[in-house]
Amino acid sequence: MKQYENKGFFIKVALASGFFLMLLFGIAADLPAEGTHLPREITTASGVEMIQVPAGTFTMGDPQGQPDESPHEVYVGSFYIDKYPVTQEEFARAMKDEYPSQCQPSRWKDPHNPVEQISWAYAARYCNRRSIREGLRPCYNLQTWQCDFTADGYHLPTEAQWEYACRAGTTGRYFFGNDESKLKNYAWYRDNSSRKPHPVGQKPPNPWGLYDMLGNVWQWCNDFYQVDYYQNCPKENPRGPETGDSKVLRGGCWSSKAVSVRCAVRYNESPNYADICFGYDIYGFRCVRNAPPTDAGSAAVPTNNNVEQEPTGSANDAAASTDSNKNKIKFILPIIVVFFVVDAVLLAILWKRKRQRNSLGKI
Amino acid sequence: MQTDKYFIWLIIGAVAVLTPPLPADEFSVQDDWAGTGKLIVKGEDWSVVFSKADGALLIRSSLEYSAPDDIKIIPLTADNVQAQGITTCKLISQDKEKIKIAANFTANTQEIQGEFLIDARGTVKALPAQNMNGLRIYSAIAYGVIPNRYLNDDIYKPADYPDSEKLNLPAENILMGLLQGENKILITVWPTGGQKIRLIREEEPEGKNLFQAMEVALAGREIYVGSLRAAGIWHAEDLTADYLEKDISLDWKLPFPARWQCQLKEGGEFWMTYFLKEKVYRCWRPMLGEYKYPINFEGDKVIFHLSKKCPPCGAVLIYPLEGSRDTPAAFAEEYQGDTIDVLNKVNFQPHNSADYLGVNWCTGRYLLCHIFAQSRPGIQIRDQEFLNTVLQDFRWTFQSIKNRITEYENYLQDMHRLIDSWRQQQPGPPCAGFFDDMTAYLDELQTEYRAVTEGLSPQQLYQHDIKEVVEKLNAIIADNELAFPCLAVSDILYSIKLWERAHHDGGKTFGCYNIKWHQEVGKKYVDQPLLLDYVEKIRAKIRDLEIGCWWYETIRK
Repeated sequence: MKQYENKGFFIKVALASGFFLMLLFGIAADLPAEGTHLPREITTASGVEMIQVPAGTFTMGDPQGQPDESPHEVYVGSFYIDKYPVTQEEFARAMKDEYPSQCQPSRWKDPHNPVEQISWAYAARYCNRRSIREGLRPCYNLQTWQCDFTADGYHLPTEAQWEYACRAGTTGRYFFGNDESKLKNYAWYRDNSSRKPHPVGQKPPNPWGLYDMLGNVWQWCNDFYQVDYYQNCPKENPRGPETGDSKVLRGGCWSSKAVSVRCAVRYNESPNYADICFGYDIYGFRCVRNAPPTDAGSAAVPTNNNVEQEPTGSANDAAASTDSNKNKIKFILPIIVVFFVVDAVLLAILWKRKRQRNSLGKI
Repeated sequence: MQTDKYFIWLIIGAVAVLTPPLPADEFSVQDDWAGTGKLIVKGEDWSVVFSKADGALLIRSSLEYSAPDDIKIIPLTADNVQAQGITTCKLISQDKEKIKIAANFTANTQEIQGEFLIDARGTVKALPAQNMNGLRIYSAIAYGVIPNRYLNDDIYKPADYPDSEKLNLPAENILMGLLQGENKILITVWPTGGQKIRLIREEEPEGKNLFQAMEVALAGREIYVGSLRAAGIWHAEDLTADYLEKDISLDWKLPFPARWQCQLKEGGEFWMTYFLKEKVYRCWRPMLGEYKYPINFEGDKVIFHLSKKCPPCGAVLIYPLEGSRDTPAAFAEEYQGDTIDVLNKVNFQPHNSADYLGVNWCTGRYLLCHIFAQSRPGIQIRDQEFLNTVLQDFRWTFQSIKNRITEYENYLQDMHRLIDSWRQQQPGPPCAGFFDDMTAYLDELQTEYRAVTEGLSPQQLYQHDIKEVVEKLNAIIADNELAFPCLAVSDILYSIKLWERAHHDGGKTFGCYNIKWHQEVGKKYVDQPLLLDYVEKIRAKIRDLEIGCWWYETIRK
């Protein structure tokens, strides 16, 4: 009888221990590997909220998508990206001095709406204005429209940066999975937009805290568009073809069908397209800026500190991530050891008390 | 003397060689009715055979490339019974232009009489007489096409109607059959009347996706049946995903100079007709802005430039419309002048006078181009005369736009009234379902349109915008110290946004909906002959609105 009681007791303890260990491993599985850090939020000197995206490798493209979306591995260095598409309010603030009568180009007026009716060239101008406003070195040469990626100012995201940020570590067609029926919860597109853009930040963000990555307005990227670029592009920080007729747009817009509001969809438009009449209130953008390698993430100031520090060094040369399982074990091993020590002590105490109770029962 | 003689013979010889031969008879008749039971009318590269055994007229082509299939014409009785034989066949008259033949057919116990005029081109004009209620015209029809001047052609593919034996078509004057082999087009035209047209799809050999015949109830009127012939006169090209964002030259060549066309899916959504253009250029469309025009030709070479804005869309057909004798438009004009009378309707006038300064389309991109005057040296924004002309153009354009959007309003009201009145007359099925579909379409169109006009009437819009523009332009004219006159003018555009929405977005909305609906309604109800009259009336209403459209509402200009 005594044997059975002891056996049941140990089974219970073993089960509890196993459950606890599984819980710990579960937590560990969700932890980032070394070399990738959870995105952190900053507010820039001019008051724009940005997210520091960690460096990492991801699969760019969609195996079930268009022919220009063929999947391939890409490594992207760390960078800051606007938390929201540039709003009309922010755009006007940056542009009013230099372009007073064109600082409110949007058709659908609302200070919190994304700015639209923006050509690529005009978006690039904004990037430079914002850089100058914050004392950074502008990226764009406004004569050649070349982007100097070594400059510390703002530029439009490369296609790879955009998709990497949009996916936020996910691998589905959308950043919330593959279920198209859920799109209405995450994006403004044809089925729910009432045929117009909406104020930014009204839909839930992606896992890295970026809002309106899908839908609302198409977002200009820095890259020239080329249908077969994915077949020939570099594996690290691809920046698009050297030349081209059109620039890439990403993310879909308020008038897009669901099939065009996917992470991998590529659209394109002439960079100087400035048709003021119509067919054009769907183009907006957000900016990116170099960030230091993610292990120097301290350069980014937390959101509640409204002063931005100047990041040091180039962001795009961050080291590639190492073996993630090894890192997880490194993290969890001390916890397991502590757990077993505590567990052993507890077991010893329990065993001692049980023994005392048994001897009292005999008396 | 001898030399002179030779000289005279030389001249005679030269004249004989250089003088073109006298035209031979363009066609001839071989009447062997009493013998083989055949009366054959022969032309340069065709023949029409009246065959006793077949009970039919056979139109044959003698061209090498032409498919061996005949076009077989068989009369029908009022009960839709086909003729089984020809009892008599007589040559009535013959001149240089045509031959007239009278034939009596038997159909069960009935006798069918008709007269047939055949011209030098091999076209048969059938004149119905006793008991000839209709014709069934057999051939291997890969696609049926109703050409349409202003909206898309209606293309009927057998594969789209797997369960239908007879398709009742809303063809008003003309129907084409693109025949198997891509070398021949069967074409029929008839005067406006109560005729009914069908495509027949029965007893089909397995695996062959074809219509077997077209059938015409003649309503006592004549009909012309002919064929257009050339190697590769039409072509089906499968536009796969590989065509995306590349310049793809086809193996197929244009057989002759003409205006060729195909339908592509603009924005991946709307089927739009694109004429093959001689030059590569960037077109502009209200839905999508600018993009590379998707199809052009260089000599006889055809090149596709499909992009994200006009993506590959599966199998498309390329065929001629006009510009040569062997085109449907030329055929229709030759035999049935009123068939395509919409052709000559005048489009919306975009500017107020012939000698305008170039400030047409004031409210749009052309205004920017011209007002900024970069391409026109000598015209400066401070030029008072120029600005006054701009103002005049604005006024004129605004008045025109007001008229146009009033047409939209009227159209919506008229259509609702029409559907309601029909619904009262025919409350039950199958009409009720059709009326429901029509109402849903109108409601959706109306909702879209109200959204872009923000519910304001044409008059309200007019008053708002003309006031804004006049005030602002006058201010610019008066202000000689204005630092940025160009920017100030462009600012006007923002103040007339509402107008832009009403007019441009309105046009876009109506254009897209109507083009789509015109096509859909022509295809969706082919199984229901009772609806055919309604379908034709709806399509005519849509067409009437779109004939007067701004050029961008449809691309068929």
